[in-house]
Amino acid sequence: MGARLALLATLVLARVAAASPPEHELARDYKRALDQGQTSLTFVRKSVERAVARGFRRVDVLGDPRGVERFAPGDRLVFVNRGRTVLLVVVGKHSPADGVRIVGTHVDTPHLRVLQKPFGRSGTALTLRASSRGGLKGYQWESLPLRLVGVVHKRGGRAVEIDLGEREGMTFAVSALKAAEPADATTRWPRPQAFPRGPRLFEVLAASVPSLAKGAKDPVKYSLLEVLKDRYGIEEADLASTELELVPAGRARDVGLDRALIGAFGQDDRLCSFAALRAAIDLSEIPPRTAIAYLTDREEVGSGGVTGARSAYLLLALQHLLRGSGVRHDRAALRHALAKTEVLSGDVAAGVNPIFPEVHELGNAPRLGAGPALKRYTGYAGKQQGSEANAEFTSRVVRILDAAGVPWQSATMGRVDEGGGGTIGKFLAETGAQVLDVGAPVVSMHSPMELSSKRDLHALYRAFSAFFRAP
Amino acid sequence: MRPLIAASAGGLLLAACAPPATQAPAAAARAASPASGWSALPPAQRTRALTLAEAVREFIARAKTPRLTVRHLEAAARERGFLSLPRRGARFQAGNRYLLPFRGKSLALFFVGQAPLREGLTLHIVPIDAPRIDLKANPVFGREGFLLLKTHLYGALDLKYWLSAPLALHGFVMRGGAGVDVAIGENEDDPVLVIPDLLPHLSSRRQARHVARAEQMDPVVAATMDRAVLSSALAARGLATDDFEHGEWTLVPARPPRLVGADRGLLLGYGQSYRAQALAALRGLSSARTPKRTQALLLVDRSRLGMGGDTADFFLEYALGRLLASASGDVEDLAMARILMRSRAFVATPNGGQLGGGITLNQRFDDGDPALLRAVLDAFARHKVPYQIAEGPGRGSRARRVTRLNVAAMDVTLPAAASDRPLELTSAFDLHAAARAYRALADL
Repeated sequence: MGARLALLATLVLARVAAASPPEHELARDYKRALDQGQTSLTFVRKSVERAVARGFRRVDVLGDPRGVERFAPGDRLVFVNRGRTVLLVVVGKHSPADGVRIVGTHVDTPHLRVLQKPFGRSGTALTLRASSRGGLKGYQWESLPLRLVGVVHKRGGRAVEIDLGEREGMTFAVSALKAAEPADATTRWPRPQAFPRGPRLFEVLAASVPSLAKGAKDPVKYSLLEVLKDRYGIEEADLASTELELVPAGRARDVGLDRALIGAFGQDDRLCSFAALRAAIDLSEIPPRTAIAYLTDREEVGSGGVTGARSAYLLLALQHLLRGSGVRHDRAALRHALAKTEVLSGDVAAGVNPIFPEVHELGNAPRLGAGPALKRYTGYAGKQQGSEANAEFTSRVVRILDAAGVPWQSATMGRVDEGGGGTIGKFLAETGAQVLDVGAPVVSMHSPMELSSKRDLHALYRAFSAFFRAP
Repeated sequence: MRPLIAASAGGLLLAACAPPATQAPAAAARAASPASGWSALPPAQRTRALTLAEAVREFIARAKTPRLTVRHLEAAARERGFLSLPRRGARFQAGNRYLLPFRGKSLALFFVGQAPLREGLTLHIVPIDAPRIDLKANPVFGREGFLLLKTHLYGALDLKYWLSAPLALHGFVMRGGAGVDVAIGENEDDPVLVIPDLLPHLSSRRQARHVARAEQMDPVVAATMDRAVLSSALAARGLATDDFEHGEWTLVPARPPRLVGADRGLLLGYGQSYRAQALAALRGLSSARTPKRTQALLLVDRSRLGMGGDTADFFLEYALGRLLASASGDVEDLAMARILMRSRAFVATPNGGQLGGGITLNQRFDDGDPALLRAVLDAFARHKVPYQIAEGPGRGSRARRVTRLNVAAMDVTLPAAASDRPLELTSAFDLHAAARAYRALADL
């Protein structure tokens, strides 16, 4: 026992410097941001708080109808769209009419979304019914504790934020039938044509003990309603208008004995979002061009909707910026500015998975730890539904990275016929701006435990910083 | 990044607390009214059930391996007045309590009863090993920029659930003749190991038939191919790669157990089959009046491997032999055989019980002793134990093995859902029922 204690003590003290101190420091801040920002709403709110604490001021595109607001070089501005999308702007020396620099990312992530008619049954237990939102593998969500987080718009209009699961010592879990037969060690899947997504509709256990309250029509359901009422003043009828997500409980972890990796939910694409956010708010001098970190919502479901990258909100914000800068802000002027605009679409890349290396074309696949991945094109099969950066812009970005001494690598999304993926890059390209996809490689993307490299996070932060600062 | 290939989905909806599926039809699981199980409990018992679930949560959070389980249960037993079983000269007075750990992985607890030993014992057999992933002796290998650890499976695992889940590494290594425990990944600030799953974007072809095969279950241990990095990380923990060759090394889920639901009425966590039952048994038997017959709670290892090995089957006879020897000196084989024939055993075995339905009984593997079932049912009725009878083809292999000793046996099992996944689900109601069941069984 004595020896055991001594050894445990050395465990606590163990520190291995596989990543450098600045890399670990940024990773610590990033893990904190992941733990605090589990939904688009909370990640954006925390991002705005960070920015405001660092001298950014909020701009309301609807609050200045007569156009008296003026922006000058060096001004630090935050535009928030419905709490789910944010633009962090540092006004540059040149007029925005001469083009801006945008790093566009997304803050939403695949998760379980509680249905508008939320209640179901699993035997005698009460369940919350939820559907998958974004491309996730259902089985990955069937054996982990879940946290219920989001917002309820009560009758009468007041919005109440909910967060159950982390502090309360209670959790939620997808209900699971006992395996009738012992599992085959090589789990077979009955549908050979499809990858095993598992369920798309989830029954999530929420209560199982009937309440002792008198007069409760449905005592088990009342066990949950009691908590919602006591803690948040929410009644059952209020649950008709909610945005409730079920996300993995627990915190971001270091992975590997060398602590070089981060394992967490939601790194696609809060990793690039965090790097863009930090690059913008850490800008200490006035950049040559106006620098914008654009953190969008709804990428995992196609970027549609008012808070997605396809929303006209970006154009509205840019017009507002043009007007405040005292230059023409009509559509023609906007198109002109966009044509001179440079965009890095920051989204994660499919890093080589050592368990399944055969899905990658290893000569062109990105590796964890080798720096930001430059994805010249996205899409699937014959570059279908993808975006593609031209040689001129690609080489310009490469020169910026090389000049700043930032490591980078080129990347593809798996073997040609293996599948594929897209980003917000193509939607930003539709505005007429030049776009290149640049992001950190991630292994096990879209899983509750995505893996990224601390070294890549730091290099990506430096890459975005260099892009903002470049002449 | 968003996948662009949408494969058709297998819409498999799973449900807990639901009537057991095809293998054990709902009609067969004759539960003592599971829907009203909670409602029938007096408020004091309801509170006790929820308190027990919290105690089990704290216990399984620490009892991650058989060795740690034995250590924690032994400590819990000593708190309840158990003394080490002496080689000879144990005082077999009714109410005395003795414990006998074996090779650090199995544990016998004896509750001395009023009747002489020759009238037979009541054996309660509860396995304390759980499915896990063990390291091979020469585990470190490099591939595609990573160092990984080569593993072997222990027990039946549904592999896909073990991917992309945080794993803690537990080791037991020898230092100067003494064993030393190592745990990496159990504290929140510790690093964990992960076997990375494939992203859905690139899964359609590769995982069409199998998500993963056994030889792919290898966690990433360092994000480098440089073994010196791993060596220095191990050295910082007082370890060397040599320790993999000699020690016992195993990977278990790192996610701590949690109570589920607004009412905290369910428990989600690793290793509950049957460690949760072991704790409930210890508590239930300890709370009983001095039993008529001597009770032996046998907590055994290696059940996942068919009870082979020195710490499972062998241990049963060994523990009883030690008990008899301690009581009466030399033991005649025939005396032992007679005692066994007069004994009965209750064995925890997977048997298709439904969550929330109470403790599960199954006797399908041996229909030779309806009298035993009758006696159990009467005791349960006297003690108001919620139970269910699973009549599906329960596997029963573990109890059947016990019948080879010429001991009448039946399954008594805490229902647990998803036993082949990293995190199993149990119900506070069933945990309470289990504790009461053991109290009742001591009264037989």
